[in-house]
Amino acid sequence: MSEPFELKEAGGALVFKPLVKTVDQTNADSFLAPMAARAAEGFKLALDLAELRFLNSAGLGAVVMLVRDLKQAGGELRICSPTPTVRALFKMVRLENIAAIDENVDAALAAFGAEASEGG
Amino acid sequence: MSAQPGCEERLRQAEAAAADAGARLQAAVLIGVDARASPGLDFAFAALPSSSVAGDFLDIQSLREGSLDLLIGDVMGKGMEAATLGVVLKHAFLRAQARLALRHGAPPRLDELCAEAEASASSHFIARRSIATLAYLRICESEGIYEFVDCGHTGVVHYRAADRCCRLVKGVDMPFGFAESQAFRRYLAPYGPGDALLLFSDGLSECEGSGGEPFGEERIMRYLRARGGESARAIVDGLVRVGSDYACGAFQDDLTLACVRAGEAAAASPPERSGRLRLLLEPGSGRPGERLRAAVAAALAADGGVGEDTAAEIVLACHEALENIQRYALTGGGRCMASWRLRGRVFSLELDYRGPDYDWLSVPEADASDFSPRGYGRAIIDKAMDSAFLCAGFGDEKTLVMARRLA
Repeated sequence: MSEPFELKEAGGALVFKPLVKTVDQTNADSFLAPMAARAAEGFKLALDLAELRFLNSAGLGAVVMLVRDLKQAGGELRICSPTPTVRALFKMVRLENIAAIDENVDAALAAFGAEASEGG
Repeated sequence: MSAQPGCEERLRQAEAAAADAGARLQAAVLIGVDARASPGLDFAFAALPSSSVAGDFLDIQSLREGSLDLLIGDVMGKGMEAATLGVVLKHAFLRAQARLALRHGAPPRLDELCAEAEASASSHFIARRSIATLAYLRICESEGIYEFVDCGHTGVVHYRAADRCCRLVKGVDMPFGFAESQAFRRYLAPYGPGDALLLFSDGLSECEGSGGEPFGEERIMRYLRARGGESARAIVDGLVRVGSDYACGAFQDDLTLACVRAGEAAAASPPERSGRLRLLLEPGSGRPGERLRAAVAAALAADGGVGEDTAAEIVLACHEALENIQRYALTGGGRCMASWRLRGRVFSLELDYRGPDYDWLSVPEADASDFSPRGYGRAIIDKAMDSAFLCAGFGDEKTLVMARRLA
């Protein structure tokens, strides 16, 4: 069973927003499940973490796997609006080496758009 | 006219002279104390050479007010050779202390100190095909913590007065002489009023009783659990007596012991924020990590001097440590007592539980750049904390101890 989320399409990308406040070992496998199941489609994804107050190491592993799977399928993931605790976690493991981190969804969509126009 | 002694007699005399020189060297140089007990830190030691001098050495000194350094070691072998290498090692430490103190303007970190000493001493050990085990313990009174580096020695027994529990803290570093250099692991742990810390040589833990069974670490811990409330002198003398009785009156090896006992916290000690939480780690018992996170975050926020990022890192590490226990040790559930403390500029967390052994260090440390699916918990703890280790007490008692010195 997946956790509650919002999903919308904007500017040629998907915006996925988990609505859970806490991700730990009880729900780390499920909070990204709807996107993990479709990762082979290789879409551009803005992962909006504005609601998430806490993410543990297992949840981080799920994010890393989604980044990998999307990349392998030709897609891309950008992380948006991480709260301070979640941002601190990303900083500790240098997540920015594999996924861009944006201040908000608009910045992520703009970056996707810029990439698309650069790519012609 | 007296007859010339024969070859065997001359050899015996030469050996006796060497043993005597070794004993004098040991007494004059290898056992040294340059510190005074204070109301906050009471200490005592015993150094009993066996009949043939081995390579035990001990150094107790105060490098600054409110701190006490204890170095205990054992050079492999016996006699003049071992005593000489002991002198080389002590000299290497003294020189390293002086050099690093000049560089930093403060007593050096123990891991740095050991690395510096090893850099100058290891070649002597390698050339002589010898090794030395050693343990370095530093008590920092104002912060209420001890720092510890263990290079293949016997560890340190920590008696906690608050719950009359004992635990054996052991390091994983190799003895001096195994390699030219190594990266040393420094442990930090909190202590409280009335706690006792004991360093001991294998002359005690490995002394054999009439049946050939070694005295063992558990007997040492049992003694401390029963008598840990006594003075440092009484603890040391009592252990020597009990060990001697066990060994039928004659220790087979050098015996070196040093005990430090903490008094009541000095009036000038910085304020302390601390708390305890009993956590039930059962499937479906809620989210114990959430309670721990909230409590630790509140303690850090109340301090007012801990930055947002630092607080977030510490809270994360505390959560991961608890989940680590739940995932690897208490898979079927169990109880855990979490005790945290912020004193001076040191945050510490102790997680006490009963459970099976598991190899804390075998949990791989992940790197996001490699797209590792798991193993980030260990990486988070290592990055957020200056020290994290698991130690054992009686039976299945375990404690996971983490500490971070804040900027």
